Amino acid sequence: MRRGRGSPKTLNGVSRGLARALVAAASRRQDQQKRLGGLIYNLQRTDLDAGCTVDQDVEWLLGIGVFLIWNHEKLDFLEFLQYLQFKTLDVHIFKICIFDLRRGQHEGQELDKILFFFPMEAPFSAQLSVIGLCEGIITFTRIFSPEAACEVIEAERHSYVFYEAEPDIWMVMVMEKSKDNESFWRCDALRRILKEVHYLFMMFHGSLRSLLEKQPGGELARNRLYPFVLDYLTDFYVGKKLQMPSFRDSLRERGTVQTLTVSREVAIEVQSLITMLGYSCIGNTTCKSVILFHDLLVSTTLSPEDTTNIYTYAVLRLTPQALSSSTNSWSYLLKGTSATTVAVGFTAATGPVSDGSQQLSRDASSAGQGQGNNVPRPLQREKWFKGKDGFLTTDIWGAEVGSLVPVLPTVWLRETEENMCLCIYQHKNLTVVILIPACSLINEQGLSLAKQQLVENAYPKILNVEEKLSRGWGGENSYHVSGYRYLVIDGDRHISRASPPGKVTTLAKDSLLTLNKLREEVDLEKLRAQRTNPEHENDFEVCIRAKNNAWVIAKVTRGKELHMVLEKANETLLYATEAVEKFSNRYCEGAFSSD
Amino acid sequence: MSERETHDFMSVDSFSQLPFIGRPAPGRDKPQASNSGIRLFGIEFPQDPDSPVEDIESSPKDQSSSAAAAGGGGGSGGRKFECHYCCRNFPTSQALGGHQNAHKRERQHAKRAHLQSAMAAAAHHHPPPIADGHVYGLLNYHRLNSLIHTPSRLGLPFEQHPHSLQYPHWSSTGSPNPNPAGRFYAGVGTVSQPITGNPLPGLWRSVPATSHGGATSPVAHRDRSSPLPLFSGDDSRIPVGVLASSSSSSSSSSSTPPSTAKDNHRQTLESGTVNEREEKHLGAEADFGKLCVPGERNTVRNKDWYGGFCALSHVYIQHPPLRCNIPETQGLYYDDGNKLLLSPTADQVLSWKIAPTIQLDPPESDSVSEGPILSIRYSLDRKVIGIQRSNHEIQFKNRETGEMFTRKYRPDSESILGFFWTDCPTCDIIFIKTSGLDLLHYEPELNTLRLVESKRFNVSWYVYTHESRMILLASGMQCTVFYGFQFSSGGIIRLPKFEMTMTKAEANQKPVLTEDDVHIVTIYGRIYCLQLDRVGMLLYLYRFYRDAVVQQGTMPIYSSKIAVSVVDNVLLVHQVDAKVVILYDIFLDSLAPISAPLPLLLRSSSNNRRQKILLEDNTISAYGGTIYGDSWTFLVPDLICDVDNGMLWRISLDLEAIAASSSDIPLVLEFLQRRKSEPTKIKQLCLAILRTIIVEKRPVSLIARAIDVLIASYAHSAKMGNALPGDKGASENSPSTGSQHRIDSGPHVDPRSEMSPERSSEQESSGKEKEHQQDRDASKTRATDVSVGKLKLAVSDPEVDMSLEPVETRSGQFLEKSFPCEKEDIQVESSNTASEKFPLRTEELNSSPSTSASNQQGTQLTSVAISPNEMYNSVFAVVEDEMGADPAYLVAVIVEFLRSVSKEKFYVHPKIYVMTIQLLARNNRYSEIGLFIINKILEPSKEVALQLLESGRQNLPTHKLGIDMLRQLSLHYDYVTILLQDGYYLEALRYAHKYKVITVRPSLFLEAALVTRDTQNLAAVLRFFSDFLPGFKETSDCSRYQRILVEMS
Repeated sequence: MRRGRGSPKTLNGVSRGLARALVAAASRRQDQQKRLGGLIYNLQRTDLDAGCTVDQDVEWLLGIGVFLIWNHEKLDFLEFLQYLQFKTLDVHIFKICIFDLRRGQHEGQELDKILFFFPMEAPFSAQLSVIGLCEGIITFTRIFSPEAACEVIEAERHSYVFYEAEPDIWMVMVMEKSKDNESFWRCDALRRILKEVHYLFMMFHGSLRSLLEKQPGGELARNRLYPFVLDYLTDFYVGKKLQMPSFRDSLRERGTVQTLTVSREVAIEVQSLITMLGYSCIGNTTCKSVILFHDLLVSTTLSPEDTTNIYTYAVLRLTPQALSSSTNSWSYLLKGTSATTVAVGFTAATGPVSDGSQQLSRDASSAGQGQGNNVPRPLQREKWFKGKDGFLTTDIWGAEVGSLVPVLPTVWLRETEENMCLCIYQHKNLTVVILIPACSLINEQGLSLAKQQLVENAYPKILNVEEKLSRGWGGENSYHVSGYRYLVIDGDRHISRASPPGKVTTLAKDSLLTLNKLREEVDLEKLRAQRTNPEHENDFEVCIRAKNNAWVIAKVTRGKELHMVLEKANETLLYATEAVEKFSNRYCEGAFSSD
Repeated sequence: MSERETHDFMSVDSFSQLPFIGRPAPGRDKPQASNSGIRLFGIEFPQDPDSPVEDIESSPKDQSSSAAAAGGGGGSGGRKFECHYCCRNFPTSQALGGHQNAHKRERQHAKRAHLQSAMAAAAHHHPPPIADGHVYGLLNYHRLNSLIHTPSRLGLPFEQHPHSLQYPHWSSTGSPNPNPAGRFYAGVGTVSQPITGNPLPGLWRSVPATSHGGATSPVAHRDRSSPLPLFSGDDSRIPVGVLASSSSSSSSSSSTPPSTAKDNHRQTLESGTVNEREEKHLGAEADFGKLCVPGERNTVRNKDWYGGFCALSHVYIQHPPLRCNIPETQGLYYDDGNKLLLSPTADQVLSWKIAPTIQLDPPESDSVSEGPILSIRYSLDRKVIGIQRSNHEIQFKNRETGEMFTRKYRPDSESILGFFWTDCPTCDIIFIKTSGLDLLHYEPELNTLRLVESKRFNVSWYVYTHESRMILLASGMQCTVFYGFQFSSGGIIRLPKFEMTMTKAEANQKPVLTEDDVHIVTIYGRIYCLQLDRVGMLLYLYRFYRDAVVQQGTMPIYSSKIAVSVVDNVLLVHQVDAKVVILYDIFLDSLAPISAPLPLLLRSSSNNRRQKILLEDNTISAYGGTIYGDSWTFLVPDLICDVDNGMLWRISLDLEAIAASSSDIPLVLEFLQRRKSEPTKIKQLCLAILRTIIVEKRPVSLIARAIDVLIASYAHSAKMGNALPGDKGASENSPSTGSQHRIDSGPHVDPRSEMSPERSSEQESSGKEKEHQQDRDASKTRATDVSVGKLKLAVSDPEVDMSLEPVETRSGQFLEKSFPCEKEDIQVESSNTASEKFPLRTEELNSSPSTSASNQQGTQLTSVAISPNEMYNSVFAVVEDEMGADPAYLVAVIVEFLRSVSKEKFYVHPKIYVMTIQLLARNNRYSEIGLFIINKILEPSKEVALQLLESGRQNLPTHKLGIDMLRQLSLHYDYVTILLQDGYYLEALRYAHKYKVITVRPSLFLEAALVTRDTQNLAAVLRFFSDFLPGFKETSDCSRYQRILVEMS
């Protein structure tokens, strides 16, 4: 990305300069030497990998940093380095802010309404200007549409995507349009990111409003939001660049789950396991469970929304792929994770902003540590470990006072509005997420007993299910349908299925751009239909010919969507329709067959 | 000590309460009495004859002598070898060595016993994955009882015992210990005649004190005084370990844990008083009993031993019996070939047909000439009567012509032991003489017998049952060497000569095996022989194979007199002296009893329970004889004849009681599913058990196993083509030989991962089955059995080879075997060629009718197997109401049910799917409904779709699932209608056009379009019908909506 003033300089050179300075500094502090060496190496490597260029001011910051290191002995080298790393990222094209319209209504208290702003080192004036603009637009559009005030603003150089997470709490994502061709995206896809992060936040921390009510000062909410959202964003780094969904992701749908198709026999076995988990495993408590195989959902007893949340979290952090995190997941959700090291460093350094003082403080946790309580960061990477007993453990939630036993994570379910303890058992590629009502587990003994019971009762069944699933597992390309690049969404159940990402990348850019455009239209159309008659679901079908002669087809039938690209299709429209028909009958049980 | 000095065996609640104590010394100085084994987990821990136990009698004097020796400074009178354990002296070092080996063994046994009991304790905590097919666990008798009395809505179909009965607990962990009652009887080697075909009187003749033995024997019972809580809250599932520990701690000197039995013995021997030893020993036994009984011991009811409504029983004889004591008759004879009870008078023979049911009508009569009668047998076609007049003469009479002839042997050289008719192709009648067998052919034209073949042996006595077609000829000094033959319709098979085991008694005294000691039984179509070892107090079980006789194990006995019956393939070992019956289900190789030893009950046939109790008292008092009295004769397989009183009973199993006696429901169900008699009742019982465990919300895993058992059983009966209605024709071609085994192995095929031993047995049986398939094919094609034996040799695995049934057993007597109670002559007669028999037997096996063996129809009604639909109707539909509060549990159960059913690939009626949806919807688990539907756990059907639409009123996605399902099922009319109802009239129209749905009235479309007030659409719809529906323009609808359209625009 070519930006900034003056001629770009490679970070590589900067790093080398920095490294020299750091090595010199480290020579004074023997204890840090080793860590530092590793970091420098990482820095260099990732920079080389990414081949990024940075602004001059970053270089300047580096200099400042070195200066700081020299002068403030207290400052952790590591943290600063991570901070620097973060600074070097190309942050200007992307902003996220979360603000509460009910706060800071008085002159001089404007800062109070900011709950989160990314990039957080942006000066308050910049933050306020963005938020002020958004607030103004919201207020303005509310005059005409009180229910759904504003969805998106397309400015000349920026797109503003709005999402009202909770009443009067807005999340806005600002994307800068660059000159190159890559910056085409679908606003709905971006909104889904906001939605997802908010849902996940709610799942772990409860609603923002409740946090704000608990602590009117807002520190509580901010202390939780900052690390959480930043941790979440680590998953979007490719190299050191935040990559938000673009037109290339048109055959993906965030906020849905990908399911594993199983035969009836296996499904019954799974269901048998589920009921076993639900009713006879742990005393008399009724547990919920979600079962994943690789990154695919096998079964769930939760509502679609909760399932989506748990599934998303599991795919992000819990599945064997996420645990090892070295391998690149083929999941539809997970984007590239090659920048793991960067991301790790990034998250460690983020969240210094806590009370608006904008001072570089030690770290998110210590910032939130005013009360001495650890803020759990469920999205922190590489914090889950598989124990010998097959259960996953984490210290994210800290340990119990006086013991080393980690506190069991709890999640809040939207459907039942109750807190559930998260208990994850993993056998090979089978991940069983068991949600035990938090009230039923009195103490640590209760938990270990529960785990023991679980293993005793369900282990044979888990083995059995895993074996059967593995046998029927066709690999990551098992849902590939040759000739088709497709995405099927079942909106009622929040389920989607798509061509494997590897196959989608074979599509020409023109096809994808057309598809992106088409999907945008479909989103609009859906929204319009929804608004005019929420009871009635319109069916519609679009079939267009892209510049490269590919057929791009979108079909919506009663809550189900089918998006499809046929590149090697015949000339005629009839052919395309027949292809859709065939696909529908074969893979969708005729759901999209034209009547 | 207790307030009661006398006990009886019949009214005790627990086997452990049986008096194990010493009687006055004179009564029990028989050596064999003390040699008794402990049974744990079906493993025999016999106490060696040379072990100290055996030495009790001699111990007092031994001890005194050894004390004298000690006092005298030892060494006097030559060298003595003293045992350090029991202070016995032996004349030689070899003797001492042998003796000490016995101690060693004893220690090992004790160790093992200890280990086993520990395992048992653990096993009852967590049911072991490997369950012995016959180990019936701790009991929970009160469960079924509570079921009986609580949910009247369940409509229990079967009669139950008064719930005041507390069934005793019978634990597989520690079998009861030897019943000392056996020691009463010195009558070893009772001389009597063969049971079958021979005079009945005189059996058990030499029993000295039987009739009042149990009642009068003074019993030094260690009373544990506090009664067993009846139906109290604490149930029998208290872990054994806990009980064991508590009992051993609470019990004083009288009770010692089994592991210390050895010490006991030593102590006793040291103390030298036999009574004390006995008491201690029994204390240990009592402890065994206590393992099983939670709480303290019940006081023994001091009732009349043979009756009283308090009596508990697993086996009963139904009152009224067949009475055949016509004054002028001379004894009773039983012809087991024709199942006739015969009673000769001066000039005629009265015969009662007792198969398939005991016929109470007046007997048929045949006139015969006067004379002494030793035995009577009708020929199998009932054309000829054979009467053995003396040891040298048998008289025959042709019933049709009335001609008579006699066959005589020279009195000096040989004497006739007996004769029987056979359906063997080469001969019709077989004479057993002291010098061997004579095979003779009856020639009706000449009305004479022609000798076909003679086989020469020395025969002391013989045992024969028509059921098995097997004759065993005893020879040798001890009569332990046997020759066996099977004379079946398939031909003659000669078994290899074999010898039966006899425990050696005292030196120089060799026990002689008598014919009372050997019983041939057929169980599950397999032929066994039971041999009583009075000295060892053991019952040996042999199984006959075509080319081998294999000892299968031993069973302990608690009486020196044993009678054996087989009721519905359950082996009943009557401990005659103890007046109790022990039941064995010799299905797998386990020889563990399936129930506690309980008395035989005389039950009246009244259905009303209370009335029955009253009646029972009456009938019992009316019955002059005594149960297990001297005059009782046990007839093969399941009849009891009271010769003195001229009565005949059939023994029946009280399946409810047996079922109620075990807490291992899956095993109980397996057991029940193997039963053939009273299929309707068994079926109802199984269903009731299933209902109960569901209503009681027992763990889902348990219910899953129970359902697995039932479904697997159904699967096997279905495979044989009888369980599905209208599938009768298939039985002709169904693998009949295999099917026998399929029945046998049926309930065990469920591949529960934890039941690995069963798996292996399953494999084995399937291997067998395969063999039998071969066999069948061979015998079908060649219609001969000779080649079949050769075929078997081709099998590589000798084990499998061995376990093959002789073809002959399959061909003829299966008829009887599968229906121990009933067999029709016609079937035997028709079973002359193998090819004819197969379908017949299949028929037999498939239908298991209780009323008529020839009933070829209605097998569906009479099969024990429960179809999935029946299970729905009688279980799920019923319990749904009961379980109203917890649909989730029921859903879990249904899932297990579906799992089980889908494994066998049975069709399930949509009703159960509909119910599942209702249950899930009741819990607002709509997302799971979606999962169930999408994964096709609930198979698509119209009923399901409609239920989805119904449940979908609250939940749109579910509603859509229903619509989708209608579309997938191509239910065009319903689909279009629903679309119209939902207002999707354009889609409906398109669909209707595409699939040519013309049954939906156009006005519905127009109405739906009108509702939207969209003139364009209304016009479109109108136009559509005008264009595509001929004659639409003339209808009133058309003009009406055209008018409306005009008005709107």
